[in-house]
Amino acid sequence: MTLLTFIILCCKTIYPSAEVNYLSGTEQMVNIRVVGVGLDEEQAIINAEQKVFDVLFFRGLPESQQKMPMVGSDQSTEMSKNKKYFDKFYDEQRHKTFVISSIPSSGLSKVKGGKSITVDVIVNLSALRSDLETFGVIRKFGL
Amino acid sequence: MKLKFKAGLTILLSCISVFIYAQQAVTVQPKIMVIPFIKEGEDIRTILEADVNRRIAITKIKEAFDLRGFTTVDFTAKLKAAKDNNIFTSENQTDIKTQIIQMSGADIYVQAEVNEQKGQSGNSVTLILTGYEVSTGNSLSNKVGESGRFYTDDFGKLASKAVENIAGDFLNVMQTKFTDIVNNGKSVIVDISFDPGSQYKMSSEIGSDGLPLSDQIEMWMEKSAFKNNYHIQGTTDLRMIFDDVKIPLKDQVTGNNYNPNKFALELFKFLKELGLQPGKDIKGSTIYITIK
Repeated sequence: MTLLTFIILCCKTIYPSAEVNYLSGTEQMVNIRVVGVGLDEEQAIINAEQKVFDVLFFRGLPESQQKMPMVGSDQSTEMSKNKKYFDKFYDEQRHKTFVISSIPSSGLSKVKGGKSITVDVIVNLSALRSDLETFGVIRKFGL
Repeated sequence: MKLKFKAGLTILLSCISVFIYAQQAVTVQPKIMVIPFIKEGEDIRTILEADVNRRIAITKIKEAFDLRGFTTVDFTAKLKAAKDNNIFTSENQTDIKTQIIQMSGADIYVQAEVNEQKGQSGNSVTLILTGYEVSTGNSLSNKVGESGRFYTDDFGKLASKAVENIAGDFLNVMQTKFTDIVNNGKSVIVDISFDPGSQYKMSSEIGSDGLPLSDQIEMWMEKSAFKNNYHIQGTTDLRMIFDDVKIPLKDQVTGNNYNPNKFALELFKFLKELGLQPGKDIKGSTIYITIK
């Protein structure tokens, strides 16, 4: 019985909470407070920044001007449709070109799986949108 | 030799790209016009001329469209042209609005209502933005924006703040509807009626299978509407109205742009095949078919 429970727990995907909160913003930029986790501070900050883009692309951010997902809510389908774009965006950290500022608002603290940090990230929304349009990930405004 | 080869290759590539470009049909974008909200009895012309805050709100909304790379139809320019051409024939102000919308050829209009509130804890502006499809009256996006209260009499700045707070969200919702139109087709209205001297009625049995005309039309509509999507408003013996028929944006076979005129032609041909004498008239996205 214990072994069965162990196997079930191992097979079950555990989705981490996004921990992304809207602070302020306009149509062109958005300021978000986010918690990132990584082995060191640099990795935790990168994780925090990428979580922000995950939410903007596939979930939408309540209270902001981007309440609806920019790309679509079916994350895995959208990512496989534009694999090259997203590989470059996340793996090669191209996302950094859309980050206006990324300022830690807390110190580094130890958590399960590494270290965690709270970061205030400002994203250049209009540049991000036009980049998605240019590379055909989303359609341009209009029909 | 190498240089000649390079020049030749460049020319060949240019020719290929021109050929590919020529193969692609140019997309026809909808015409969008931003207009002010007017109350009954208000004169749209004097309101706009006297109220700078409404003009600021309208300009800010147009700016938001420009930011997305979309050019809108200028309402003030159309208003001026309408005045110059003396198109206003009615005393009714609502009619003037309708006349301008019709004259501009806009497919979509965005109405902006600006409300100023004065209070002891500061002044504020509330903005109501509504986007409609002209042909069907379908709502495309609705948002209410607040400037927040500030100790200022600069209502123009407050109006501009209220627009900034919702413009992005408003356009995002509109874009979602556009994507839906691309995927599921655009709406047209089909109004089929009879000439007073016509010997036919909707109940007339017609065609090789001798089915009533209304059923023949509905069966055709089922086959021809994009993704079989249509809605009948009502059928009487003398009239049949489809208040929402989806047609594709692109021809499914050729990939060329498709429009209500082409859909009307298909219906016209079908009615001819049934041995009828139809007449067709298209106004915006409404197709009028009159059977003689």
